[in-house]
Amino acid sequence: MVKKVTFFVVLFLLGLIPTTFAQISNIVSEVKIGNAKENEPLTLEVRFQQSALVTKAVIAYRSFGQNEYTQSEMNLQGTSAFFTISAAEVIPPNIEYYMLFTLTSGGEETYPLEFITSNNPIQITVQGISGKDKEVLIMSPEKNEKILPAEFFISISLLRASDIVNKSATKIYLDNKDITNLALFADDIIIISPENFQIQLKDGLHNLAIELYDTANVLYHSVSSQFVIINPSYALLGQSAIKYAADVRLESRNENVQTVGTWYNNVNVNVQADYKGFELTGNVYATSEEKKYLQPNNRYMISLSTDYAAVTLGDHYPKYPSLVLNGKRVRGFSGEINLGFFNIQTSLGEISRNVEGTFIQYKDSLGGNIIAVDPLKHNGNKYAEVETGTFKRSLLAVRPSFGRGENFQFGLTFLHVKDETGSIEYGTSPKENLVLGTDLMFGFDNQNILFTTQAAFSLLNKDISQGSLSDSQIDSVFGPNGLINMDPNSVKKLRDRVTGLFTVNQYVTPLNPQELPSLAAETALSVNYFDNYLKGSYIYRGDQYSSFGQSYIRTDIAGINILDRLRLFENKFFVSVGFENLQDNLQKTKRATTTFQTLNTSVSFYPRTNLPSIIVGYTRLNNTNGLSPIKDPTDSTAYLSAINDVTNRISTQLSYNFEWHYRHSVSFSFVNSARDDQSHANYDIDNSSVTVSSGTRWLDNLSSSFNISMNSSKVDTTNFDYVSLSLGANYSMMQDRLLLAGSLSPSFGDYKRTSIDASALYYLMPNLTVQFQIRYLNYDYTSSQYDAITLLPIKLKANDVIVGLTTQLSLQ
Amino acid sequence: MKKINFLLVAVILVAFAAANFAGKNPPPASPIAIVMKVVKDVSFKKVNGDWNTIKIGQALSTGDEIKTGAKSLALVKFTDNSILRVRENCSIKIYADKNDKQISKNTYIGKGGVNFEVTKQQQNEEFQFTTPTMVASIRGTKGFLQVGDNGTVLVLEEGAIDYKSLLGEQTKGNITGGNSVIFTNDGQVTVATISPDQQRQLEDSKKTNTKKLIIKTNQGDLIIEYLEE
Repeated sequence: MVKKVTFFVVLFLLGLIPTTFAQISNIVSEVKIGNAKENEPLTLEVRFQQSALVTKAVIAYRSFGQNEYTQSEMNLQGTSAFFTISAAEVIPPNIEYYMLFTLTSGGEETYPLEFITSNNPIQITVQGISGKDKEVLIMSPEKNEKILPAEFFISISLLRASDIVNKSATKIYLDNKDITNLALFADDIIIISPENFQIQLKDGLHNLAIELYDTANVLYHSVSSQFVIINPSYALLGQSAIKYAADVRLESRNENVQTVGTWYNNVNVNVQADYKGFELTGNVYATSEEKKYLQPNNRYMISLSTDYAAVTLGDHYPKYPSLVLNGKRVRGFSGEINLGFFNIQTSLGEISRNVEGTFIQYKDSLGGNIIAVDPLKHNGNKYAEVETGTFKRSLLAVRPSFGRGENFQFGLTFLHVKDETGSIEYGTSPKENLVLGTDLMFGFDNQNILFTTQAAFSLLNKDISQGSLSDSQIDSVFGPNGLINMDPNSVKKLRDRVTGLFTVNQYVTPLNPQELPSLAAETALSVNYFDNYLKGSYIYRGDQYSSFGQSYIRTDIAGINILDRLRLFENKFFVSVGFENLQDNLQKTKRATTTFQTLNTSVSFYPRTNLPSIIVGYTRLNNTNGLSPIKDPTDSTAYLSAINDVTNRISTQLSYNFEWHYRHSVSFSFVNSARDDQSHANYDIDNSSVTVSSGTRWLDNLSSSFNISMNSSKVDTTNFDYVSLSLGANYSMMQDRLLLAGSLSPSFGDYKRTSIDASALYYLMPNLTVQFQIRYLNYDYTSSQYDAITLLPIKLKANDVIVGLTTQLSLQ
Repeated sequence: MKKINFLLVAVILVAFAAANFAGKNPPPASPIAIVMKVVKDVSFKKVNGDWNTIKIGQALSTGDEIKTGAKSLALVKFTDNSILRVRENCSIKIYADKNDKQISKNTYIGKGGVNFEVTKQQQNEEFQFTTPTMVASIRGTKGFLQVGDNGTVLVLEEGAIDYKSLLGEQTKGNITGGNSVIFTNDGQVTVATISPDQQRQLEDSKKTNTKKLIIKTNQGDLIIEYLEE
C-alpha cells in the first residue's frame, strides 16, 4: 500500500514540475524517432495535423560539434514526412535538428515553432556503442531476421559475458513481456525452444530485449534486437528464387478545417524483391493532392541494384559530394557502376517541373511581375502582367571516381542544371548552373586516420532567356565604357569555350572568378585512437558559390572547426568539446567582417544499468564585427551595421527506464538560452523550456503516456509563455486483433489549443488491417503568420475535425 | 590404405581429446552450438547415445555428431557466432575445449561438404577442421570443405588458413582467400587459385533457402520442403 501511495506521489510530483516544455506546433502532430544508436541509421517520421498544410518539408540536422546544419528535403507522403539520417552521421552524444515547412499558404514555419527566435534545436540522445554489447550474442532470431512462426525460437550466447554477470539471473523480454520463465539456461546458452514457446506471435515487427544482472542482482547491461514474423501462407508463396515483400496502404481522409471540408485519398505501394543477388525496390505514392499547378505530390521510384551496379528510375535523392549534389529530389534516372578501382555515377532528370504562370492583364511597359510576351500570340501586345510560373529545371550529374573509398578515393564531379526556357510561357529569369567539383579521401588503419577534402567551383547565370551574347552585344556590354568593366575579348573567349555547355551573358556570376567568389572547399583530418576522436577541419565558401543540387549551403564563410570527443568507462561516459571560428566577408563586399565563434561542450553519462542517463551541455555563440553600436558622429551609419551578440545555452537531458511494479520510462529535459544583443537592434532573447514525460506499461495490452511541458520566451520586450499537457493510452483487445489508442493534449497560456485523438486499428487478417482515426482540434491563438492587408498577426480560432480511414495489406 | 587412414584419424582425434582434457575432470556437457535450421533428413547422436532425428533449437555439446541424408541440410551456429552449413550426405562430429571465455573448437568431417563462416577467434582460441586427410586451423574466415573418397578439397573465400596434411609427408602450409588446396589420399597437396567449378560449389554450399511443395489432401495439406537448387 505504501509503495502504491509513493508511486502515485512520484507521478504527482512529476506533474507539478513548474516549467515544462513540449514542442507545440500549428502543423506537427508528433515526431516519431527510432532508437538512436551510434552508427545505426536513424529514421524520423513527422506526422502532420493536416496534410493540406504542407507543400515541402526540410529537415536540418547536425552532429555534435558541427555548427552547420545539413539540410535535406524530407519524403512527403500524405499526413507524414520521412527522413533517415545515415549511420555515419549518428554520433554520440546527440544529434540536433529542426524542421522547416513550406505551407500551402506560401508561408513557412519551423518546428519547433520558436526555433526562429530562440535558435534552440531539438536534441536526440545518441547512445554510444558499448563494449558490453559484445558480451551478449542473440543467436536466434538474428537482428531484423524475417522468420516463420513455426521456425521461431530464441537462443542467446553469454560466452563472452563478464565474470561478474550472474547468467542465471538474465531476463528476456519479448515485446516488453517477461518470458524468462520459458527459458532453459545451459551454461553459456539460454534457449527458448519451439516446444516451450506457446505464444502465438502476430505477423510483423517484434522486439526482443535481454537484461543481464550482476552477482549483486544489479542490472549490468541490456541489449535489444528486432525481428519480423512473416505469414506462413505468404512465406510459402515467397519460397521461390525470388524473395519479395510488398506493402499496400490505402487512405481516405476528410479534413473539416475552419468549416471547409475536404477529402484526401492516397495509395502507397512499397515493393522489395531479391533474386540471386539482384535487389529491387519500388515505391508508388499517388494522392488526390497531386495538382498540375503545384510541384509533384505523387512519388514513384524503382531501383535495381547489385554489389557492383545500381539503377534508379523515378523520384529519388542521389548522393554526390555534399558541396555539389545532396538531399535534392530528382525525378529521372540515376545509375552507378562500382568496380572499386574505377566507379562512375550519373544522374539525369528534373528537380522541378514546369508549372505555367497565370495571365492577369496586358501592360504597356516592363515592371514588377510584368514580362515581355510574344506579340504574335497576344494580338500585338508586348507586355503582360502575370503571376509567374516555374520553369522545368533539368539536371545532369556525372562523377567518375577511383578507389573503393575504404583507404583511398579520388573523384571528379560535373553538375549542370538548366531551366528549360520554353517549358512555360509566363515566367521570368530562367537560370543555369554549372558546378565542377573534386574530392579526395585517404583512410589508414581502418579509417582511424581519415583525411577528406573536396572543392567545387560554380558558375551561375541568373537569366538565360536571351541566350548567349553575340560579339556586338559583348562589345557593347563589356569594356571600360560598357555596363561591366571587363575585357570583351576574355568574355568572348569564355563564351566560345563553353558554348553548348553554358550560356554566357551579362547575368553570369561570378564576374571576377580570379578572386574565387564561387569556390567552395573543405578539408578535414580525423584521428580516432585510445577512445578519443579528434577532428580538425577547414571550410571556405565564397559568397557567390551556388549549386542547384545543394540549396541549403551557407556561403560567404571561412574558418576552422575542431572537435574532440573522449569516451570513458566502456563508452558510458562521453566528454565532448567543439570549437569553431568562422569569418564572413570573404570578397570584402560588406562593410565589416563578422567573426562567428562557437564553443560547444557536453558531458554525457549512459550507465546502461538501472541508473538514469544524463547529458549536460553548454554552448556559447559569440558574433561580432568590430563596429561600435554607439552612434559615431564621424560615421553616422556605422552603428546600424554593428553586430555584437553573445548567446549562452545550457541544456540538460535525463532519461530513466525502471521497473517498479510496472515498467516505466521517464525523461526530463531543460534548456535555457539567453542572447545578449549589444547591437543597435538590441534583439535580446531569453528562452527557457522544461519537459517531463513518462510512459508506463500497466499490462501486456495496456500502456499510457504522460507529458507536461512549459515554454517561457522573451523576445526583446515581448513575452510568449505556454504550458502544454498530453495524456495518452494504448489498449489492445480481442487477442490483439483490435488496437485502441487515444490522447488528450491541451495547451494553455499564450498558445491555447486542445486536441483529442482517437484511433481503432483492427486486423481483418494477419496481414490486412483497417484503421479508423479521428482528431478534434480546438484552437484560439495568434499565428506566426501575418495578414497581407492589416499586416497584423493572424488570429486563429476554430474547431476542426479530421476523420480518416486507412487499410493496409502486407505481402511477404 | 583406407583402414590406415581411418586409424590415423582416430588416433589424432583421441589424442586431441586426451590433450584437451588431460589433468581435468570431465566437464559437464555444456552446449557450444545450436542447430538453427534443418531440412529433410538430419539426425544427431550424443556421446554414447543413439541416433535421433534433430530439431531446430537443439543444443550441441562436445562429442555430438550430426549426419545428413540426401538433399538435406543442417545449419549449426556456435556460441561465438561461427556458422557451419552441413550439406547433404555429410557426417560431422564437434569437439570443444572451453577455458573460461575461450572455446577451442574442432569439427571432424568424415564425409560430405561443409560451408563455414568462422568469426574472428580470440587469443588462445582456434577453430579447427579435421578430415581423414588434413587438419586446418582457422582464426576467422569463410570457405568450403568437401571430403570425398579421393581426399579433401578446401576452398577459401576470404581470410587465411594454416593447414597440415595428415598423410604422406604431412606437408604444412597456408593459403589465403581466393585459393584452394587439395589433399589426396596418397598425401599429395596441391594449392591453386579457385577454379570456376570450385567457385560454383562454394556458392552452392552457402544456399540454405528452401522451396515448399503443398499437396492438398482430404486429410489436410501435405507440405514438402526441399532445398533450392
